[in-house]
Amino acid sequence: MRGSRLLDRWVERASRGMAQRTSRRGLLARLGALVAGGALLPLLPVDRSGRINSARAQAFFENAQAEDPTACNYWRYCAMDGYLCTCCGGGLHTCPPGSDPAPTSWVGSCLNPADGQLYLIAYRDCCGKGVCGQCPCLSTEGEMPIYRPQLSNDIAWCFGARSMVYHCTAAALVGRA
Amino acid sequence: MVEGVAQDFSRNCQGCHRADGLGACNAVPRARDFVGLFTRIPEGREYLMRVPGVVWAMLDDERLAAVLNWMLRTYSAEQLAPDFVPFTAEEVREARKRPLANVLEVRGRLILKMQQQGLLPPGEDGFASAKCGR
Repeated sequence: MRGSRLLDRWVERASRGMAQRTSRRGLLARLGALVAGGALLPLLPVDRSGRINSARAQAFFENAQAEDPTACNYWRYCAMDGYLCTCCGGGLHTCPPGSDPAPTSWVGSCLNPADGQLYLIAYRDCCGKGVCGQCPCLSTEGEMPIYRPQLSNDIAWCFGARSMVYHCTAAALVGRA
Repeated sequence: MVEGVAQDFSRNCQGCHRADGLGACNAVPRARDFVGLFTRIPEGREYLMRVPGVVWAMLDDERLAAVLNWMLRTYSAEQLAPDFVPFTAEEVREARKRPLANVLEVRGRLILKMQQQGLLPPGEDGFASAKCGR
């Protein structure tokens, strides 16, 4: 009955998300999003020449910095949605003690202001511990309601983790995009 | 740098199926050393084109067909049917119009069939061996 279990998890996650943290959108928004045709982030990958179509995506990059990973405008957080693990006792790609990384992630393409290159970032929820609550960074560009889960943010991305309880989100570097 | 079809995979599928193709236990079926088995039973080919992740992928039919073929060859070449014919954009376009409403039920039937044919050991369904958190 994996089907119902999965469904249960989704519902649980959705309601938990909405109840606990009004708008944590750690979704695959980014995932599909990246590629999606209407969301900003999504356009980026397609627009590697610097022709960034979306005003809001462009705004993120214009304000992005490469020094402080505990601030929402740190470049790797272009498709972030959640509490920064760097503010919760974890690192850019490590979970705080007591929480475990989910095997699944959502993906974003972010421009590094330090070298002007696009990188693929895997946003990974750390799970199994109560919500951290520090440094909420919410990207709402291109967000869709829950019935379009690939572009909705109100889903804790703890698939495959031991627990579906969301703690924070880390942003690991995957490689050049 | 990742480009072309691999890039489409990495941006649309990799988050959940993972770069290593292992998926996530009880949530995302593994692709590695597994997904090609679906090409060995008649209904499997259509199944692959009608699962939610494929149907709703934000890729056009041509790129989607390319990603399907790439995933099969990259993660599961050994399991691929010897007479496998690559997916075409045309058949993907038609199949996508008919999403599986009961995907897990259909999948369960196909898995059972594969087990009965000895293609899969009992108990292995692509979820049991997917990647789990520690």
